[in-house]
Amino acid sequence: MKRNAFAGTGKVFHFTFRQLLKSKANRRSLLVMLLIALISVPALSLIRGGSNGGGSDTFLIDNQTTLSLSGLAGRLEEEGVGTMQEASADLRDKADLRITDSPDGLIVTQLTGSAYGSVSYAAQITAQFLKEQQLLAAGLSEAAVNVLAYYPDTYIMTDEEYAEFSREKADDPSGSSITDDPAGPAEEDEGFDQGSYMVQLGLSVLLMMVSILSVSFVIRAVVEEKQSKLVDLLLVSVEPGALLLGKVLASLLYALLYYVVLIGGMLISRTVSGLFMDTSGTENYLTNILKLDLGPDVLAVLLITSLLGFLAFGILGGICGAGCSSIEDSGGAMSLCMLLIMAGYMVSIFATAGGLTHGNAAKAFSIIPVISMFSAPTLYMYGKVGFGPVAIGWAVQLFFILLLTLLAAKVYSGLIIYKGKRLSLGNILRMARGKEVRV
Amino acid sequence: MSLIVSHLHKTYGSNVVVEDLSFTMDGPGVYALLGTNGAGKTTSIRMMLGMLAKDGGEVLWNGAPLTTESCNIGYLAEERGLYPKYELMDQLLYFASLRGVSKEDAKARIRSLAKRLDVEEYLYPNAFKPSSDMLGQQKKPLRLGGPRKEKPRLAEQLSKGNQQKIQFMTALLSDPELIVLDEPLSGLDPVNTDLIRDVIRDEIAKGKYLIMSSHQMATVEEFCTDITILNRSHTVLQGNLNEIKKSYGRVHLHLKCEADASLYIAQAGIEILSEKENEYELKVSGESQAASLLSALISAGIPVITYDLREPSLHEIFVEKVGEEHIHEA
Repeated sequence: MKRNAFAGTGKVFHFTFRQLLKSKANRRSLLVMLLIALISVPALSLIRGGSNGGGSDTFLIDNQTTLSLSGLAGRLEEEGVGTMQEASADLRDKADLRITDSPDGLIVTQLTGSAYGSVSYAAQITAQFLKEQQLLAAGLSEAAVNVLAYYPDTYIMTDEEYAEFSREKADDPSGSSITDDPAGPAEEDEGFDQGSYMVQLGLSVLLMMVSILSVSFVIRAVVEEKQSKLVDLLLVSVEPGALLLGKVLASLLYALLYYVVLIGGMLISRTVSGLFMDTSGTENYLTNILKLDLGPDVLAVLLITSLLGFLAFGILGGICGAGCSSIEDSGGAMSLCMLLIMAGYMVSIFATAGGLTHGNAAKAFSIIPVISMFSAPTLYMYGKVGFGPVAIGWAVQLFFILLLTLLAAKVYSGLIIYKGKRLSLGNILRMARGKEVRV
Repeated sequence: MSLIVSHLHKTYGSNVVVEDLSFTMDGPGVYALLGTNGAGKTTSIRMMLGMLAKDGGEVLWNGAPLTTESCNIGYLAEERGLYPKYELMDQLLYFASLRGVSKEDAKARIRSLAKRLDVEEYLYPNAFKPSSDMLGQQKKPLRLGGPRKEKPRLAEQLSKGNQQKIQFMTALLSDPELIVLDEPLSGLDPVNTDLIRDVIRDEIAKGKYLIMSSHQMATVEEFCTDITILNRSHTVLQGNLNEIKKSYGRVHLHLKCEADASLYIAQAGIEILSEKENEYELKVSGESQAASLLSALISAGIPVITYDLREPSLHEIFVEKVGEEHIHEA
């Protein structure tokens, strides 16, 4: 690679970014993103059944056991979920939660509210409280109870699910129960976890969206330049590598604007909504059910991992785009990048849903390029991998980017003056090896 | 300063696209690269300017390899284009910045060239907005906040000719020492052709080095001192244009008579190149053959209106040379 192979990158970057900002379509999509972010907190609070009067919800609990629930009311109020009331015999039909005893253990059944609403959160806290009581009754120290109680997430059942569960238990008495048994939930955590799955899903969708956007910006910019017959004019003033890198960086920065708008909009939404409505339920949902921990280290991992991913996809998109002679051809170039992005997205989602978020699998997903971009931030946030695998993942990503840059330096100048049928990645690699291209 | 192009060579697989091209410009002037379509002109220019890797040969500017760092180059590519959806002024300032021109200098140069090429109304739409009086329309009531601002023009809103003038401006934005113009006048109407011609003349007068590739032989003949004719990747004729013409001698006779002279032309054994209503383009062997035809016509009482014995035009030389090549190859 020549020393000045990227001379002029700054000028290309500045021009491309300015034009991206000037585009009406791009400004509209940023505005839509901002609006979505602004309505996110009030919408979530309304969906979760949060009141707008600033007061808490009251939960009616039908306790069909002999257990004492003293202390639970305080816990629910402490968590900001609401006020607890034990249902008398005549109010049992109106209960939000029911506590029953079964040979497998205590079962908390959610009778009202949505799956992710405040009742669901109250059920979660109730189940945790009951478990703590049982562990204490079994003679465990408070410290041990705290540790054990932290791990398991008790599965909360709907009425129908409980009926189904009871039938299955009757058919198969050896079947395992999903209750407050300490050994059971510990195993649960190895598999599907509602909070981490929701975060993985949300983050993967966001990363996929931004990746596709930035790649499409790069491909469109490269192909438009070729189609507009500007390449000769530009090449006399600027190195081909700079033409590509400037576009990739501009597209990257523009895609990051979506992040800024989204996060900034949500912060504004949270602050403003808090003045008019009760958003404590939403906040509890984020911190207690999703266990969303956005500390500086998590944010740094998220930012660096996704930036490296965007950069790699951007350069790949630029190389593939340069093999096209017209916008009509660019669909083929986009499909390869889409395929990789979708592969990373799907693996990250299925790995979380399938419980492959521990041990070597988690480490592998934090290291393998394409997948690491989607998986590493969530795995790190939930403590499934340490900083080591994430750092190795960055090194692998950087190596991957270096390889793509070397490929671009070798073939890009030839590709952008090439005219004809779209060159596949295979042909581009043949070109890099100095072999004849088969179109 | 000098430009030396030495033994340029390029192949694509087994296909030779430029074969051993060499020429020199020892001082300011205009050099023409001529050739049929696909002869290798654009490939040669791309290699000279470093856009395309050379398989052989070198290009030196003042003894050092020609690069954008060693020489201020202005280039008008044969394949012309602009970003269709971007504002014209943005594009011009971008191209100028890529050539290392400061924003202030670029703006001054754009204004001056826009005036010369008559494209100010597209680059400064608010300064050149015709008033309602000028259009003979009824005056509209005054608008709060002043007159409505015209939106900056996009490249796609311009006619092809005006786009071409903007593209021509891009080649001159950096006040280059070496200007390479690939088909600068193709597709322009006579008025715009004259505008660009004037600017080219000025650049030549300023002592610039100019390399021109064109199919319009009259344009080349007007500006160029030296030429290279390429045909199917190799050089078929090269040298000073005047000397080349002299070497052919005065062998072209333009003859116009008041009556049919074809019988006398045939008797004199002269080849007719073209004929239209007693007006002939003839190829003679020399001045004596032409003189004998003239005396025969006078003796026969055929009035001669035009008798112009001259050297062949570049067009005729080009056609002859390239034609010869094709016959040899056949």
